[in-house]
Amino acid sequence: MILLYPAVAILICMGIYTVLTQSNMIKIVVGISIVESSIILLLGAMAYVPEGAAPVLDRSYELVADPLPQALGLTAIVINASTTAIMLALIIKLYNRYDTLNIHKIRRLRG
Amino acid sequence: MHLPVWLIIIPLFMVFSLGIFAYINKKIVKPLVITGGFLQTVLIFFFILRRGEEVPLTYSLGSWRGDIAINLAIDSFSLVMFVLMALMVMLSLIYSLTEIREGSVKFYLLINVLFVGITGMVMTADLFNLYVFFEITSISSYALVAFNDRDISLEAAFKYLMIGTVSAVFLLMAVVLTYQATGTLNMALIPEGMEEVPVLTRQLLFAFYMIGLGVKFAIVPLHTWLPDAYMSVPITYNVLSSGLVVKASFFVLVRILYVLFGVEFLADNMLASVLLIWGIISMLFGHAAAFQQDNLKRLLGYSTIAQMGYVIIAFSLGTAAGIVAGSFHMINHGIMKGAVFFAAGSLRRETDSYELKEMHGLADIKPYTSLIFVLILLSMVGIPPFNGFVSKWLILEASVEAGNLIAAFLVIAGSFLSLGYYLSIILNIYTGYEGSSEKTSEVRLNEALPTGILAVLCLVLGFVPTSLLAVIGDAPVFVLERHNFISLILGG
Repeated sequence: MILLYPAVAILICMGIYTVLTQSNMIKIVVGISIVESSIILLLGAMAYVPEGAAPVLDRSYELVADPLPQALGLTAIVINASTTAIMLALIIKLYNRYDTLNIHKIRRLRG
Repeated sequence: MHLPVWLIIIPLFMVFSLGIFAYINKKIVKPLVITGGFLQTVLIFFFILRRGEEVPLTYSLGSWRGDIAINLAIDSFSLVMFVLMALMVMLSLIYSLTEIREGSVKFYLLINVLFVGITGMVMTADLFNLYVFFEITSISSYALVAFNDRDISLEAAFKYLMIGTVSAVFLLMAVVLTYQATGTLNMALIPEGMEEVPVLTRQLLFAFYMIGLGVKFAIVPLHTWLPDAYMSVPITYNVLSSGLVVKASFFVLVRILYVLFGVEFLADNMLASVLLIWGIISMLFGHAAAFQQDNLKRLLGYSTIAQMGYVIIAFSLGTAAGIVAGSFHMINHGIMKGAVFFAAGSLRRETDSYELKEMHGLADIKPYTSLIFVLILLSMVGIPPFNGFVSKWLILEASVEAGNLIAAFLVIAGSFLSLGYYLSIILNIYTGYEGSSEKTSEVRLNEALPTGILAVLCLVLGFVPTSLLAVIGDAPVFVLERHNFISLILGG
């Protein structure tokens, strides 16, 4: 159980590393998805109660998992899905304009 | 009293009904949107004008008890954002009537999603709810940046999306870790639990909140999306972004820092100084970068970054005077930037370009708009009879009072820097006219009206700043003394 927290940290670092180093836009989106999923893993790990039952309304259980992080996790999944959808839609548009997925060939704007 | 929740319901109803109404008849879309904006504005004005009796108030969704419910709270500090919303929502909708020719249904749908998100962010007193509203605002912003469907707008949208999504992950992480550390998401209950959290954890949480929200209000190393995004979006979104989106994110950060962490914690751990130095860097960098721009909208984008620097400096002082000055500058900057963008949009119809070198001699074609444009630019520099002077003076006074003479000096130095690039715009507009002097331009009432209203407000607030200071004067009560906010929500 305690291993989950380092796993979350490693996943976040992996995801951000992917975002920073890859030049393929699809891979960048994959990297962002990894970061987002790791937070959901964190939420799942937080809700865990040793030997706890599912948080369904039933008086016969003493120990139940914390339902709040699970609810947050569901909301976060929905939000992640919609941002991923927007990202992919933009990638399709950019690909149609430039015929490439390489971010360095597309980027003409300078900060 | 169910009025607070109607502020969210009205734009949300617009979002879901616009598509249906557009399917029946395309002609009723614009009247419908204007009606929705008008209702929202009336409601906001109701809260501002009856601030003694109605505000502060708290509304528990679903009538649960204050400590379990998701609460909406309107206190004196929220009124700062309410003043901005009261002006920007209606005026930008009026301006957009002629600007948005194609895909107006899509545009108004996204704009209303934006209103839902901003209203929610300002009112909510629950951390996760805050994250959801933050994402609603962000997602509609991404879509609005890409709205014009040109090459640069798509690129800017992708860049914004990348930076924005990663920052949202940091905000979510901060929210989740706050929950784990304190066991609650209610902003009124967290301060109590926060006292027992180790200092190092609290500092980490501060960093996460800063990164998560800092991207949205373009604090300097995280600002790169803003000038790009400003380049090719409709003027309406420029105004809403610099007037509402940027401000709402900063507003939320202030509320989190001062209510969750508390002003003593910020001062004891040097975090207030970190914020102050960050604000100074933002301001100086924004001014310096604006010098090199030859596109008007990019320049105004960097100017937004610089002006947010002033606001950050004022709020990081941690005194009542600083918070009033910062709030005042937040509102003033919204008004000035709104007027400048509106005027720039009208000027642009003659040249069809925002490149400065193509704007030569515009003053001969559009004398009145140019005059307003120049006067507001002078107001942004902080030249006396305008509101920009008053708020910069207040920031100066507050930082001298708090003993930060370096910050005070840099505020003045920054203003002189900004005079340089604004003068070059003025020079461009008033010289080098080639062509006939016949005035062929048409005046559009719906563009002239918002520009005029905001410009007059700049002058009025310069002469009688007390009229607005009376509204926001109580803001520090709910920022610096967090027990007021806590007892407002828990009803104790």
